[in-house]
Amino acid sequence: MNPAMIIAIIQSLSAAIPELVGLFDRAKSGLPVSEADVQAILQGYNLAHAQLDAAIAAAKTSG
Amino acid sequence: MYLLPALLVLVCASSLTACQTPAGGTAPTALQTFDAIYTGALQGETLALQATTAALTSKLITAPQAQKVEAALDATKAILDAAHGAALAGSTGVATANLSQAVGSIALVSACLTAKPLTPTTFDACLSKMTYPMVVPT
Repeated sequence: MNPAMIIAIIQSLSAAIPELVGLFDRAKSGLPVSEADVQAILQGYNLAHAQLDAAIAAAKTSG
Repeated sequence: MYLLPALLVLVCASSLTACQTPAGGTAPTALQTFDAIYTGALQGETLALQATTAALTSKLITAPQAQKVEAALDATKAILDAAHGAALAGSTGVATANLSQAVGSIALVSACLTAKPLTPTTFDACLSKMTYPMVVPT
């Protein structure tokens, strides 16, 4: 694995870490998440899912 | 780094009331606490999807492997949704059981994606340990 690949993976993971930590902080402190929070997370999930679908289709096309 | 969120979920998921330590004001309901854990687990799934995409585009894993991960994460999402439904219905035990299963699956996929060295061969070996999570019925 070359450095560029490692960085690409780390960047994809670290981009969402602060938001994730914030959510768990809320859970630990007893602060509820709002419906808007839930919807935002769901949108992010759906977007990531669509991106993976596109990457799989592209990888299959390129053989 | 990647396993930390999953471990945090497990700590909270072990008891839906264990994470309720309000500093003041009205204490949240178990459902509100569950929502916070649910969204955290969902975000963990999103991270796993993003990492899978990055690994695939970097050719560290193959398209069939990415599809296998996606199928496992889809099954995990279904379990998370089942946990959410159980929490809404007031079945705390079922919600916790499903949540724990889902988080275990996310943690395993995460571990496979962050294994070193990550190659199609090592990824296959890691994925072979994975079993599809099953929904705990209400």
